[in-house]
Amino acid sequence: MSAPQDTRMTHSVTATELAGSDGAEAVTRESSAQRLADTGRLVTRARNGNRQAVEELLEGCQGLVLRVARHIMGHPADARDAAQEALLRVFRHLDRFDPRRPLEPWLYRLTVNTCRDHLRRHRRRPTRSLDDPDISAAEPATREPSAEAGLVLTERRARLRAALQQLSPRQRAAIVLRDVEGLPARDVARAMGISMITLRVHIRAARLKLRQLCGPHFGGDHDL
Amino acid sequence: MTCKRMQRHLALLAGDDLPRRHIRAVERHLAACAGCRQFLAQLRATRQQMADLGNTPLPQETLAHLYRALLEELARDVDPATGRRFQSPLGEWRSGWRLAGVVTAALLLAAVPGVWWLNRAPEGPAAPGPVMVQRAEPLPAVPARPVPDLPALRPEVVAPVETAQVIQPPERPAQAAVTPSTEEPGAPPSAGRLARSAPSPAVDTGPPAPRPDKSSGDAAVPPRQTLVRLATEDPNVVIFWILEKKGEDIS
Repeated sequence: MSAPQDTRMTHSVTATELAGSDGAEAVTRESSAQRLADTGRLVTRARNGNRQAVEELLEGCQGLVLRVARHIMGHPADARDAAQEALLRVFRHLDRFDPRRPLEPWLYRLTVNTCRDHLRRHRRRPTRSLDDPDISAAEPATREPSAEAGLVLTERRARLRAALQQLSPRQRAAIVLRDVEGLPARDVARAMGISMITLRVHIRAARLKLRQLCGPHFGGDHDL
Repeated sequence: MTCKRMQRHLALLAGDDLPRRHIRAVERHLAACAGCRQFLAQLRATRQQMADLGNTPLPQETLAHLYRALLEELARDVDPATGRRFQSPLGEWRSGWRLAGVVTAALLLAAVPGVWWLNRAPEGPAAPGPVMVQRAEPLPAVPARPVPDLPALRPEVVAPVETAQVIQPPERPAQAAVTPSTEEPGAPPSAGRLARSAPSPAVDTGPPAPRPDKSSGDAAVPPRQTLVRLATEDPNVVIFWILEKKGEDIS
């Protein structure tokens, strides 16, 4: 098996997308039913012990899980540990998953719950201040054509990442799933196991705080 | 609506999360307030940066490390001989109890209607009963059984009875206890002697005895009583009873 690629699942884990991640064939437009059926077949094969299906599923899931864990946990080492634990839960509890349903909401829910458990069990690492001059040192290099634009983007991401760590774990999970991952509000509430009203409370508090911390750098310094 | 209060709505409006009932009021405020428009622009810019954060490439070495570690970890769960995943003892224990719970629930569900069906009262034409058949011809006549002749009963008055020896009716037990009567001087002293005495052809029917007067406290005169013997054909069966005379002549 080739080295895993950064496969971001914007819709669902499918065999076609997984094959596309290897560069074997392009992702084609499929109906959601077909994608769902492909994911279901992949899950069923993995559940029956098919090693190739396990590898395909792992390769398709790990990008999503690691990305969400990274935003919620903040520290790269914590994010890796939480992602590994979440993925182990996924494969060990694969028999509880209904193959007729989409896989993504289940993945989000498992990841958010695992990160929350991880944060509860382990002491939080000290968060970096937004004024730290080395805040963007850990950010991966961007693919911007201009070096100056890439530097600005890297700095903004680092500042946002540090601002995310100022939020409470629930606010962080809500804003990551809603604004970073772009999930519908109803799916976010379902993944977090909270009501829509509670979700709005978390999202409102998170956006106001993020604007307070990063707004002057992104859109002027006006404050009410 | 004040600008301070408007911030709460703007934070939701920036991500299209504001309920519809508030949108019109917020738009009216925004049309008149430049500061809130800038506040909303900052919120949207921040949110846009958050969305771009999702496009950050993940470090390849982290992904590779995660991939290897997970496959190694999952390989420990698989039996190399069968290729099947091991079941943890806790999982087997859980699944066993789950199966036992399901079986118990199924038995209970089956037993409740069964008990109800067994205990239900028979009603309606469900159970086939005996069918009444109307016969055209008359039933054969059954010969009547001869009624045996009853023994001739010949009552005869034996003798008057002392009131004290008569069992009084239950409604006036106190009267019998306090009023021993010796009204009849020629009467036999006991009922046992009366029963064994010779029959008397005549019945002494004196004047009706007055009721005892409780207020005076004297021994009141009880009603006159007469012992009657009923002789049957069987010499071993003799019936006695006592008549109480209340002013009428019973002879």
